[in-house]
Amino acid sequence: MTKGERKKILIGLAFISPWLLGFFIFYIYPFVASIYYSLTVYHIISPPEFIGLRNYVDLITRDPLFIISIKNTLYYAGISLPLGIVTGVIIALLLNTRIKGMAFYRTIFFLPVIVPFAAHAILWKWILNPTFGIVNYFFSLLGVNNPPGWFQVAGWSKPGLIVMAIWASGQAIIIYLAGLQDIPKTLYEVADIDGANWFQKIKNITLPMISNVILFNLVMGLIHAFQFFTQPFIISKGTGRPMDSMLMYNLYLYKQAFKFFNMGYACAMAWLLFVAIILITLFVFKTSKSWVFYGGE
Amino acid sequence: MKPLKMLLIIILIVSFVPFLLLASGDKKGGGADEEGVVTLRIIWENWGADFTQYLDGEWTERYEQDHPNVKLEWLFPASWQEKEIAELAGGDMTFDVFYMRPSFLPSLVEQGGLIPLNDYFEKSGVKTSDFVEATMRTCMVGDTIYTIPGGADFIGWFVNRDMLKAAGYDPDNPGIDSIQDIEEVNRRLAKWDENGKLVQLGYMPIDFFQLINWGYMFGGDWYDEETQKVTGNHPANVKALEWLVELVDYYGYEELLKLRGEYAEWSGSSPDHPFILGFTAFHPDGWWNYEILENYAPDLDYGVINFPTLSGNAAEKANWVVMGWSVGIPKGAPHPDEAWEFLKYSWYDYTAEFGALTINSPSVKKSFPRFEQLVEEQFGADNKIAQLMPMFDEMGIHATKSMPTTPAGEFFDTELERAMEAAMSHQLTAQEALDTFTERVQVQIDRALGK
Repeated sequence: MTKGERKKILIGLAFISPWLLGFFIFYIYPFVASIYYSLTVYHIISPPEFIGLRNYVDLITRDPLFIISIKNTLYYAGISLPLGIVTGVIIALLLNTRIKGMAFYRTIFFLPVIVPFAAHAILWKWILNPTFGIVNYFFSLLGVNNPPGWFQVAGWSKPGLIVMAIWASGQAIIIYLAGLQDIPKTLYEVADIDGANWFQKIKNITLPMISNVILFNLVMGLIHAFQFFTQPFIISKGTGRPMDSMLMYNLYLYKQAFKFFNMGYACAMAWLLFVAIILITLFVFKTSKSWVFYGGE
Repeated sequence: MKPLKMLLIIILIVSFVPFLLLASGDKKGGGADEEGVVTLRIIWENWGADFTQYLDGEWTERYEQDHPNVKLEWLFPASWQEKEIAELAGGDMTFDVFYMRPSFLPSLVEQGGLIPLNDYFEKSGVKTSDFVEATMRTCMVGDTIYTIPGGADFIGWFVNRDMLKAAGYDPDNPGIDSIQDIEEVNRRLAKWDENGKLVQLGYMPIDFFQLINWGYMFGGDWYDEETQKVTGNHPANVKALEWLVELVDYYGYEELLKLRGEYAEWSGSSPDHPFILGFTAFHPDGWWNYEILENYAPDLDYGVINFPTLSGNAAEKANWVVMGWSVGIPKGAPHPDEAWEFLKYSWYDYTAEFGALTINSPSVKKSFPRFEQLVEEQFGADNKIAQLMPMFDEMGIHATKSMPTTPAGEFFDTELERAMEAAMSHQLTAQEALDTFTERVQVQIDRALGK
């Protein structure tokens, strides 16, 4: 490296140094510090006490709520993700048609995205209220005598969260729509010439051509699902009730950290979550080679 | 050097200024003393704009008038627990007064977050027996006093007089004093519509405070402070939970949950509470519930009766549970003596005045008559809640039980709610549910104590 090149690099570093400082203070330091705290008993006021891997062992062997929170999170992710992808693609296909007022319909589907999560949760608490919510009112008009208890009963609370998630999938829909509009029209013209019907076109052209977009939404959806917090926190008032049915992993982590002040324990949970997300994302990318088609290939 | 380069270097230097300002901080904080004037900084629970204005306004003016050398500075954070923890963790304490609740005190004391007040009590002639026994206990760990009792939450049963009348009761003297009376009134009041949906009921016992109360009432206990062991599965507690499960079975647990709607706390201060909406005949709550009733159900003809006991025996009133809050002085407080003077003034000498202003029952027993007088002056002698105040105060005279104060803090409460849910939904028996509760909370307590 010449003197001039070295000087250029140093000047460049100097100019990005405010950002670098912030990055190290607010990202790298907490990142590294949390590894240390996860190996300690730390209640904030008193100094951390090193205990090795005991937090991790306790989580796996002595904490039934840890297992419950994982099950709840997997349930939510396992149903909301595929349902969200299927619904998103179908709605995007419908929004990709040439009919009058399409701009209005696209806006309607995107509007829930700009509703803040907290408002979103409060709104659906009322919509799904078992006594005077609008959904159960419609059920009663249809003659359903025992409508779901939604967020008041354990069996229906997670389905309620999933319904909320599908309602707010406008962002994914717009991304699918962009992907659909990127598909060359000539492919469909050729398919028409070959006598393909609508299902064959979707199966052999549309889905493969937007498979990379589906992969993107799948990975982003996975990360969001595993970090799902705001809506169950607001709806259950931070308790995860009823019967821990809404105790998601991140909500339990929050409670350990900020309600019970077990910071070391919460850091251990955070690191397990981080590793799990990395592993699952790597797995998705690995398997994507068999089902994702990239146009350049 | 080229002008552009010079300009960019200046911008670079200036961009470091925020970091430098952040690093310097304000070590003294708002408690900095002007000559002869002490500023007491207080962390308080945010009770809403209506109440914070009483504290920050009227009460502050009154105190500062009586103490010209003291200024009060209140802080009402979104989470007072987190703020107090953060201030203690920061190491350089700038606050003098900490708000406290029973579930939080033991863990703060365990980490040395509060200073003992025994010497202050002794020098000032304040005796622990001056206070409601149940609230005083929540301020102590062993024999050491850490906070002074503030507001006492005396819980009465708000009743819907029209519902009772319709069920054949005398609303002025319904005679609901024992568990048998509760079972009878539930049978008389429960109604279902043609679709089998529950539309009216009597007593709805689905929150953990009710189980704590009935556990004591049946002769049980929840925590042994000496051995630091949870006694959640005490046979009497199990009997109490079994009885509550029987009550709930009569209605159907899921039906109750649906009717409960948004109600998730024992102090149902919300317009969609089933009592406000006219679905339930009873609602255990403090006297502050009058505000919700006046605002959202002005036509509801309500009354208040004493919390029933096991067999209606007067001696059993000692098993009533009183919750509440207290006030302490954090470790490292810059002005502990002045802080004690403020504590004694607000929650001992003039606790009746404080209570009447902020809608909190006082914890000092000898202040009850003055408190009732002030409430009557404030609301008017004809006001219903003013007339009912002696009934709430009666709880303070008899009650000896308090919410268990353990190092597990909120974990205790959430686990007890879970145990109730498991038993009431028949996923576990009452014994199994409380065994699980005991085991889990003990693990948490041991973790908090470093065992």
